Amino acid sequence: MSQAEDLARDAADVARARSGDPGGFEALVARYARRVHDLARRILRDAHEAEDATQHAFLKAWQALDRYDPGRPFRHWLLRITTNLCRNRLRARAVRRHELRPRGGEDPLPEPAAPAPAPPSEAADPRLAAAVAALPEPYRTALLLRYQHDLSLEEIAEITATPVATVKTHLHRGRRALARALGGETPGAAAGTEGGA
Amino acid sequence: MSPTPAPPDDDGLSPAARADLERRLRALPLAPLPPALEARLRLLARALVAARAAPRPWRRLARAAAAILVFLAGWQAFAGAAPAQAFAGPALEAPEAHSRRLAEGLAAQVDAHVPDPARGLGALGTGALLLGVGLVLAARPTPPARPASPPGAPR
Repeated sequence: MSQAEDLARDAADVARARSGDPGGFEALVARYARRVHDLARRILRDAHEAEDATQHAFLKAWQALDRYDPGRPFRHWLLRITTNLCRNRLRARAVRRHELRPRGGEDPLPEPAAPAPAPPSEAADPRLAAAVAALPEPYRTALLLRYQHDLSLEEIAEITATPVATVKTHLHRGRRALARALGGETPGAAAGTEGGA
Repeated sequence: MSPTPAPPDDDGLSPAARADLERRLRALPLAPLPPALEARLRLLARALVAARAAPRPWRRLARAAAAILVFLAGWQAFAGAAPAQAFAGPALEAPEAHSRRLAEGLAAQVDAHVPDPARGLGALGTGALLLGVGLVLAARPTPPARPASPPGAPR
């Protein structure tokens, strides 16, 4: 389905949802739930929190539906809500960890190392998935939005509320870190990373 | 003689390496939606639409009930703090140093396990405020109901 068709279909479902037709919002949820959940899971690196964030994202989307501009892609709007929610949760997690940490003691809330493993049928590239999960959050989010969700630099800048130049830097550093983590798996990566940049 | 490899770009990756990495990133599969989450999202979507179409008195009642629950939670926090303070208070007046140390230790334990009365009062105040908001919302005049489907809307 083309991008224009996607836009038209989403706009029609949003109009139905706004008019009180239950099918409209349900269709939007069914279409984008997996995408939203996957992004939340990869940003938060916590399966349970990702489920909460997914529900919260759709709740927020419903509450703000009257403010949504149908001339713009619904998917981007929803990914923006999801990204903001996940970042807020990461901030809250950092505050909780800081408050709970005893003086000189160990961290009682260790950062999840990686998301729960996907089922074998889905784990097509487990090393890459693990390397992405290990990236710092801004690089991880930029790479996911750019490649997995196919957004432009300008769209990512809008979603993450950062300048386009910063998005480029995050992508550049993220790719470099991935190439290092994957070592010789990527053709030419080893030679390239040795040169630095 | 083999061709000279392309120079690495600003990622420190050769064009081939970068293209391969980008291809792999694009091919990262979306995780499957857990069935329980899928069911919850379907329920959530239906509930949200139904709540918008629900009769106004029920919504008012739900808001007021939520406010009362918060009020009760605040009250519970306050009431839980009060007896513990009353228990520790007289012991702190004991003249002997041993009893005083014991009482201080006890007070520290109480402080560690019982909600601070200030917090209880804060929660109580918040509860009272929310109760007031709930009652105001409940008493608010009902705006005209939104039509389920305006004429000409796509179905």
